Amino acid sequence: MRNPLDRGPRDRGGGRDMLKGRDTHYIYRRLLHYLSHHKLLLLLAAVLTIVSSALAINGTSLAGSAIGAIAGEGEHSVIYYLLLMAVFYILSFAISYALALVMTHIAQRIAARMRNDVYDSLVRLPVSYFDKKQAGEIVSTVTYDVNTVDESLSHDFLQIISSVSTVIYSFVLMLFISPILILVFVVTIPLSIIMTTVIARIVRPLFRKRSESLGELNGYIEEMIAGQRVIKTYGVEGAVTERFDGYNKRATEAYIRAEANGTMNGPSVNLINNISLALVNMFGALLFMSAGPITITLTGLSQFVLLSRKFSGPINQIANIYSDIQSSLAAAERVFRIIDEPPEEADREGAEMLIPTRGDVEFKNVSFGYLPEREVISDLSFHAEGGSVTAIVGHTGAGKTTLINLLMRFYDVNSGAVLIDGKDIRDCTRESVRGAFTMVLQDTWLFSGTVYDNVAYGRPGVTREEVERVCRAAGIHGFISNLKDGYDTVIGEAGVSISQGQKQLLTIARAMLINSRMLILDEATSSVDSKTERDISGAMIRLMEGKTTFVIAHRLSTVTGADRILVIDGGNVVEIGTHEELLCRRGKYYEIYSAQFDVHSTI
Amino acid sequence: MRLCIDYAKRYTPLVLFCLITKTLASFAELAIPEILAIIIDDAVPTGDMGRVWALGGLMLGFALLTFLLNVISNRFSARASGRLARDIREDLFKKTLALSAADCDRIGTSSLTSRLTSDTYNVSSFFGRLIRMGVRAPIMTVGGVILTLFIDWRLSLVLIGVLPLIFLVVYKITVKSIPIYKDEQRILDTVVTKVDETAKGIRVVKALSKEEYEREQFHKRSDALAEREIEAGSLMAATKPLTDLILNGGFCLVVLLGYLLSMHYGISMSGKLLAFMTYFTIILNSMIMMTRTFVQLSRMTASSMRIKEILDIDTSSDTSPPEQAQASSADDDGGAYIEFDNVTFSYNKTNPDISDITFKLSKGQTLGIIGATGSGKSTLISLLLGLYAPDSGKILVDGESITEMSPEKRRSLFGVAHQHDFIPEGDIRGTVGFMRDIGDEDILRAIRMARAEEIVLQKEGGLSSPVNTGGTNLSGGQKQRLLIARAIAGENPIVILDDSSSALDFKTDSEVRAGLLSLEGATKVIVSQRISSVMSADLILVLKEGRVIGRGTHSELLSYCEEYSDIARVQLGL
Repeated sequence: MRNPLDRGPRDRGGGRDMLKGRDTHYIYRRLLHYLSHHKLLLLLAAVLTIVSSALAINGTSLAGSAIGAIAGEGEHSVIYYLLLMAVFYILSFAISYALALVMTHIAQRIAARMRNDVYDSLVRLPVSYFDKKQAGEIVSTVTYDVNTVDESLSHDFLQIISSVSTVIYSFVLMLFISPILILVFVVTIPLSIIMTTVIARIVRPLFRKRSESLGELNGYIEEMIAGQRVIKTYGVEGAVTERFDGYNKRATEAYIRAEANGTMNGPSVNLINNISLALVNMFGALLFMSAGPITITLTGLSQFVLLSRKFSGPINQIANIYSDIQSSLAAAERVFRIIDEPPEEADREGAEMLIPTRGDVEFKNVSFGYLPEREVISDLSFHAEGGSVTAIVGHTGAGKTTLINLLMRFYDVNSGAVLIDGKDIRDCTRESVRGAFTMVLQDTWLFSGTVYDNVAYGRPGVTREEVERVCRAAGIHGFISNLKDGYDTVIGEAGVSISQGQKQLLTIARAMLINSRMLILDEATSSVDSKTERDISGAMIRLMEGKTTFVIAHRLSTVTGADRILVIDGGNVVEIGTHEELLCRRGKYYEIYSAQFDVHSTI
Repeated sequence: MRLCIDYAKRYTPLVLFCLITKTLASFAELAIPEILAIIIDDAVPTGDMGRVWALGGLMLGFALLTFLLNVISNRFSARASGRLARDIREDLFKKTLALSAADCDRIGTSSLTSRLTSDTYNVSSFFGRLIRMGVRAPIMTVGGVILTLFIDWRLSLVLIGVLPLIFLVVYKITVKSIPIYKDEQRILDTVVTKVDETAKGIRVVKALSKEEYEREQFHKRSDALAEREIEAGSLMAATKPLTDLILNGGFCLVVLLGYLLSMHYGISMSGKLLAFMTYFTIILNSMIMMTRTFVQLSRMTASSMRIKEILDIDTSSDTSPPEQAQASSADDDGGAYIEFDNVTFSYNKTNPDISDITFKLSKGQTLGIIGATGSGKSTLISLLLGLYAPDSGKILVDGESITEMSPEKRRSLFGVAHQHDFIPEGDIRGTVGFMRDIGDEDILRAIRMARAEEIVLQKEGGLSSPVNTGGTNLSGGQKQRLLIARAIAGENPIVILDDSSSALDFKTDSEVRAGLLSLEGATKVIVSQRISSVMSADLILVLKEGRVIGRGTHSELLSYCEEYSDIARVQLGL
């Protein structure tokens, strides 16, 4: 049996189990909801479980009868019992096989449903959720946590039914054989309950500690390997190893302590079993010999010995299952936390489809902050007419990317409004607002799919020729043609290496396929070299043609031709105007622009 | 396996002690059913109550003894496997840090990480299991079979006949399941990839309103995963019922045989049969343990091979070049501090990534390198750092070949900032100091020079303000400035800025550069796509497709290098 507390190296969230009672009930209810989709199958499984445990116990008790019959007891022949045994065992086999099939089926269906639910919730979450969470954490919930919950659901559900039915059934049978011998269990059952709970109480915090320290160690390892090259370049291996030794030592100590106590479980279960066996045997033998009113036949004793083994197993398992469930509840909580995360706010009542005609964009007294108490944009107003080019210039961290978050409604303004063609975009559906823009971001995003799929992402079903046309225009066709499978090359596969600049060109090609009224270029060519940038400049101009364009760029050469330059500093637009106007003003823009000539002039 | 044994040798007494106590425990446990048979078949017929009491007490005694021995043994095995894991991890970690860049590229960071985390975990937990179960199971099986021989050898024959059958069933199912599990793993990977991509590209997904599409894609993969898991599960589902069936069939046969024997010889078989069945169960459980251990063994073997692969890499001569034994005859370099002499290098050893690079740089001078994406700028830096050995040609620093230099000396030479560089979790002090012995004053000086003092001032904690892994709580520009500060904080003789100001605006960039130029003793190498970043350098190399197509100062290049003046025209509007 897998040790429920031993959750492997992936587990890094060991710190928070032990839920409060109310939460636990809530999670149980949620889990029952998943089970309820398979009511009939589960009912069938429960019935099958009970029948198969009964059959197995009957078979065992028949074996006792057979042994008794050999000694000349009982009313039927040995062969009779043997045949019955064979029939029971075969039936039990067929049923438990069927049961296992049914349960795998249910379990995997539930797992798929749960995975899909988490994912569905995920894509509905606001962008801010992903800005706060690490991708790795989300991945581990969708895969490992769902798996833990599912394993425990499918496994424990059956275990409980089978344990309970086995215990009750064998208990009743034993009661019929000899009510006196049952008294043995009055000693052993409390003993086993005490032992397992005591061990669990000692062990649980130790295992939590173990998971934690292993998580810390693994986190450190991950980090340091990522920086291996820099560590070597700076020659600080010694310091890194020293810290590693500290983590390693702590993890090892926690492991030894947890493991040393955790491995007491097996021997303890064994001890109780053996004590039961000895006591049953001893008192059974004494009863058999006693000529008193309470006695036992050899058949009865044999049955009792065999049944007692069947009986004590599940009792211990139930204790195990309890802690098993405890740990999977923690995983379930993480799963439900994502599912319950409030989705992106619904569109307003009566929100319209935004169908921009002019593509006229206006910021009206917009204030915004990612945290309510810290505004990054305050009282910003400007107006970009349809078809105009607005360049956004400013120091790093001045709030340029924030403007895009607001335009695309990844975030909504705190006060003021963003208007497109005079309409407050909060009165329009998010989908239509986003659809009105084409966006090329600095952080290129390609997914593991073919080059064609990646370029055609925004316009599925577009022809191969069309994709090739835009790739040519984006100056990336030559590169793609040299890949081993051309446009069918799968990105992300081993051996396909694409530089940051090439990635940007691919996303530009992707954008070229989308026809919208407005365009956002967020440092779209920051990793593309100047030569290529110039080669594709014609295509970029065509891409911008007729669209209201917002450009964020470091290269001033990209922005000099803009209709309007917004110079942002400290969250505010400090200057608005054309390149020439702003240069004449000798303000912030002039300062930034002339910076590149500072050095030049000294040569 | 070999790996386990090699490391276990260090703890021979400990392991030996575990094995001995485990063996004793197994013997004690095996004695229990034997006593049971004696009670029923010998003591009961004689009606000797005292003997029943005594034998019953003996059974209890053996039960207790088994328990104690097992607990002791398990405790020590935990210690042994814990230390084994610690040692393997430590050696592997040190080795990983020492790996050459080429080896790292070949193996990949994520693979190295998983070797250190999951693989060492697999190996150590297997080792613990092996000490605990590996001895117990065979002893229980073999011992059990031998003891049943004493009870009645004819009954044992049934047992001996049944055991291989069980083993065969489990083995067959396991073998059959391996390819299915492999395929399942592959599909699981696609599920993981999808989630990861969605989390990272949520802006694009939402901008293009592809939520529905992504959902469909995910459901497809998730459902495919479920299908495959059902397939694997259905196969594995047969294991327990089948082994149970075989065991129970054996039961029937034993009873039948017992019946025939007692008919034939007229002896009492009840106690023997009862004891026999108890052994039967013990043996079956041990068999299941053993097969499970075998399944784990295959996984462990894969893991330990992956670990061994790394441990066996020879890092002593990590970058020593193939045919560069000729001593550094650097007498004729005329005061050159950094010298590239006809350097050619290729990552895949087919198409050279840089070819025939030659230049000299004096101490304190600044070298600018400019060129298109993929023109070989970063490769050149990697070679200068000695991360790779050139395929031909020489790289000399301070008159000594970089690849033949002692690692200690090589590492004291450079302060480097790359475009997307490694930032460990910690604080600003740690990010800039980077585990070197650098005082706060020097750190602050470097921070000021990199124009990063505003980051320190902005945060409440000053130098102790927390920095997340990868600097996710910093903006791109802040990260780069801290990285530049890190590169200059060590006061290394050579400072390399490898495209490390791309996220800085021009003003900050020029200020940082001005600060850098004031480092007079240091030799500077600045790699950039921006002309403004390199134009004040003493020597500028223009790279194209791995070759130098222009060299000289800014004004020289403007006058003769067409590529360079083209770039200048675009970037500077000249």
